[in-house]
Amino acid sequence: MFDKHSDLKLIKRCKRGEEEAFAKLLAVYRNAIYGHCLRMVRNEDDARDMSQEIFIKVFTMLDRFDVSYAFSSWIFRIATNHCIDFLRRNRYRFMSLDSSVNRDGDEMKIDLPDKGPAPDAVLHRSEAMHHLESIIDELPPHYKTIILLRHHQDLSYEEIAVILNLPLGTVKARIHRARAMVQKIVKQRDLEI
Amino acid sequence: MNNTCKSFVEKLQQYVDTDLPKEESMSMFLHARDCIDCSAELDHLERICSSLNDLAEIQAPEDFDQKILSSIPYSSYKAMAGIRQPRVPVILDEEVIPEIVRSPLTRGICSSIAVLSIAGLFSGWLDSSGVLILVAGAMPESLVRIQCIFRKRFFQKAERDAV
Repeated sequence: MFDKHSDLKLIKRCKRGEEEAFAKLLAVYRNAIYGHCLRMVRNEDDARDMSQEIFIKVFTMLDRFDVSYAFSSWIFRIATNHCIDFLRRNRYRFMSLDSSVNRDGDEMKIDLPDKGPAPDAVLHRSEAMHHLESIIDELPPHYKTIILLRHHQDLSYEEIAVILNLPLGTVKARIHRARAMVQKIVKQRDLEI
Repeated sequence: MNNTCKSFVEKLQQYVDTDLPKEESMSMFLHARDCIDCSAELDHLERICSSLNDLAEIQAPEDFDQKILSSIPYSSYKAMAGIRQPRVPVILDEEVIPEIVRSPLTRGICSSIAVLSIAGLFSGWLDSSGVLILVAGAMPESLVRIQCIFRKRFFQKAERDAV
């Protein structure tokens, strides 16, 4: 999904102060990091502020980036730590994507991309995905993080081990447990996925 | 649920991740083919994994980039680019040659033997076995020299990449 070599080329240009290179690097990761933050904290304003802070932190610390690692691993490590810290600090009340109000009581709407016309099958699929989003929401933060990194960001176990600074075996066990939790909830609620 | 089914469920996650040895994977496949309950369990987990992979991508707001791009210290980067030293990986610890071979004492003794064997070969004091002594004597110093050449090239490439 993310290309290590093209990232490195952009980073070299960033280190020379080329504005266009920063914009390109941001374009590659903006949706991934914002989406990751939004799925973790479930609030658009917080997700926006956090992901902007993450990018500013990353771009001002590029000199410290070790080129022997993938840039994607580095940025996701910073983003994940940021999200976990935020959740710990705020002891966040988990909200479902279906929820229409945020913690301040304001209207909240999360726009998911429209996949085109909506015949029955698509509606059914859309409903199933909403259920799945709600279930992911209910997972403890560590399991939620690992599920999103593995399945949504499509990162390998090895990359996740680097991002979370965990042994590979622990990463696998945690993903298995997280998926088993999702499967159990789906069965308990008799949902069609 | 019999023991085979219990074992199947325990290994199901690894099977879905194709993380099992070939033989175990094959026996899981064969069991799923014959057992309706386990086959349903496998199908359910695969559908969940597939749905998790299909989570919609969330788009960042349109004015998202502005704050970030206006906070980057471009001028510092430009100023630093001129004076920044290339970051060259340190590989001095990664010795391929054993210490006993690359120690100055060994190299000195072996080189002396090599020089003496050359003299022996020219004076006729040594026969063709002197060539073997020459090769063995010259080996430690040659290995260290070859390693130096490779390192130098590696450093030069790393410097070029870093600039």
